[in-house]
Amino acid sequence: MTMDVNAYRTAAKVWLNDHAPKFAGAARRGLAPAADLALGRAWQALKLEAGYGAITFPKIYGGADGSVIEKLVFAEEEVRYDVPRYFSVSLGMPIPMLLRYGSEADKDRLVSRALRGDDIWCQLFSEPAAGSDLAALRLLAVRDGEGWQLRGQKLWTSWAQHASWGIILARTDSTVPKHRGLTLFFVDMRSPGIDVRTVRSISGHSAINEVFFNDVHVPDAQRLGPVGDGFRLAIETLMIERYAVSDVSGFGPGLADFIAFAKRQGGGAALLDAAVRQAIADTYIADAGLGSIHERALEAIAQGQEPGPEGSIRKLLIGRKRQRLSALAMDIMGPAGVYYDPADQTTESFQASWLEAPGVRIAGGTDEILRNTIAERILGLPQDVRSDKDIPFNALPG
Amino acid sequence: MSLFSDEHILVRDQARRFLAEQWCAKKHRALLEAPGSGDAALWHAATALEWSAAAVPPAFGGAGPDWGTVAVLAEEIGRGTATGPFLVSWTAGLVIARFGTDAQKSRWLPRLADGSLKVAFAFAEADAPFDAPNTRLHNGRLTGHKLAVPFGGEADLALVTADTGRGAGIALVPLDAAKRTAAPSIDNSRGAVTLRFDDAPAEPLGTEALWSMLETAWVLTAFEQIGGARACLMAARDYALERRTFGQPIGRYQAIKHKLADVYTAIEIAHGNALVALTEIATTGRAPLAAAAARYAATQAYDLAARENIQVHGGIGCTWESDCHIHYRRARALALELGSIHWARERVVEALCSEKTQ
Repeated sequence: MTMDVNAYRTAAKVWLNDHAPKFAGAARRGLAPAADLALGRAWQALKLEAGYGAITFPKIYGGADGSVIEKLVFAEEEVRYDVPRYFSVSLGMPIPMLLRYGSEADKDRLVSRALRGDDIWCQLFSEPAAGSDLAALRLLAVRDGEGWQLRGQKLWTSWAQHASWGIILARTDSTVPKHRGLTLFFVDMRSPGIDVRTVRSISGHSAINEVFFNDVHVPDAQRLGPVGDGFRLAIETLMIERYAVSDVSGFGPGLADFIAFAKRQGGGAALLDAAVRQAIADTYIADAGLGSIHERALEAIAQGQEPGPEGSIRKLLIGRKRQRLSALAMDIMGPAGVYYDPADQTTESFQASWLEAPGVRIAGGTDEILRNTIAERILGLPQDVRSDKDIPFNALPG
Repeated sequence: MSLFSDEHILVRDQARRFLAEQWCAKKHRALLEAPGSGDAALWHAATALEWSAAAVPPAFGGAGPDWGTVAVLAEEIGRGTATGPFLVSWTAGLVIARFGTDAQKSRWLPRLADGSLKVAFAFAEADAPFDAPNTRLHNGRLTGHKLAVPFGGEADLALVTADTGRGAGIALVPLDAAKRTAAPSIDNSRGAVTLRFDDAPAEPLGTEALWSMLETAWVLTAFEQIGGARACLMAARDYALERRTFGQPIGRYQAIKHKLADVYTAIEIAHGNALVALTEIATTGRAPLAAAAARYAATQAYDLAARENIQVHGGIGCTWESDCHIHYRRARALALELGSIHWARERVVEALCSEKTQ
């Protein structure tokens, strides 16, 4: 790692130390959703002003024209604070795709607003019958004069309830096999015919939504890439954030928190239990191993190389790790482990962490799909049998 | 700091070719039926490639310490299930260079570097913890009994844990004065013997060397374990591509794919921990937490990879003729020789949960 990166990290640490506490932890506790969102927008605007809000984006839109390594280093430092993250989707995937495939006029009109946090963008990919099997999606885009009409339903859309815009994957041709009939658009979320309904997650919180499209008009100018090229572009979208930094604890209480907790229980008696000790050791090696993998990935990126494929085990581990430690902490509490306050943050409360842990193992690639990916892409084992592969979408059963 | 450079890729490729030529499963099976024996030819050929020089400083005729080379070679030895006191020789070189007196360095390091001296690490006793051995060093004489010492049959010198009168430490003991008895084991390719010392001439290497010796051995062995685990994973992968059931390769079933993805994950976690520990021990000579974590992770990974490799192979994997059991045995031998996984786990947890660490 070069001196420049170290200097950048030090400066980022100092800046975060000065500013982040006002937007994290106690500052967020008990805030109504609207107030938390306002706090999130203020945090994004402040970061942008300091050169940290859109590190890799072009200067003409308000970005910092920085390197991927700077983005990752800042994210590593920022992840230590539980600041609002309403813009993680916006700036992670939709806006980079708009920059790659949007018209100059649209970029001028929309990108700087998104970087400042004025607009939130969502990503409308998954549907009730299309999660892991994204190409099975059914939402239709039907020709409508110079544009298109969207008809159907999306699901699991993060931040759609706050979003001004979204990128959306739709079926434009049902007469060809499923992967080949999709097209990518962006859509104004304030258009007539859009109905956003929040889905309560297990914890009772609401960051995800189902979104209904009832003949929603989209101009053809808001198409991203060629008609029929949507699946390839969707995969490209998902690959952009491949090396995103995530908290190694999976945004739950970390190992240090667990150990501190276990030390307080029964005058330290909990720490004498073999199952507890095993969990501590298992979690430690997972964290240390992932830390080493991450460090090597950063070094590779800093030298302009592709990181090794081993980074793909990260998400497979963090969800299960968080689920195990959280449940174990509750077991140690015994009957008192049932107490839960919905206002608790998942980073602080084992109950809140445990309630949301299943989602970590599903969102953005289920444990099972991730294992398939490792087996196929890294180990070279064959793809599962796909009986629908070469059949036109409208000829598929069900 | 990276201990590895492009040069180490060449070292790895050369070692892999060399072991493929020198070492084979047939030879290995013969050793499995000859408790306490070794393979002098392999040691000799590897010495010609200067493997033995990698850990010893140039002042004593070596080319080290080159931690990257040592780790790469350890991994290749694991991959090829080669036999011989390579890792313990490097460990001894590193520890003697750090803790030995000038006289000890002059006496032992040149012979470690040129491969003319073979060493063994003897610590296990029937009823004594690592840092409180019953073996005693007194007035330059050592008395005690050590269990199942790998390569003890072919070694010239043992690094022996002993009560030195000023705490537990390491003693250097020429083995011509020891009574050696072949120890039939689950993996006879480890050349294990029991060692009985009765007033044998010995010299102290010092009490500080004790944990450094163990931690260094744990870290290098972690690379050996990772090499073995990777070999199992590749063998299972290759078989899964070739073997067909119900009209398709078994590698297309998720039961197999997910199993092997989990093995891959365990190996990469172990590798990450081994790299962390290697860097730390190369810098400071100690790595109380990281070395234990590396051992804990690598032991789990190799055990898992070895047993699931047999599972993927099915019935044929359970036969003497299959190579699967070579790793199955080796994984267990490496899991036990340097102390059980429970001990490594306790070292990890103690380091994390208490302020004091030895």
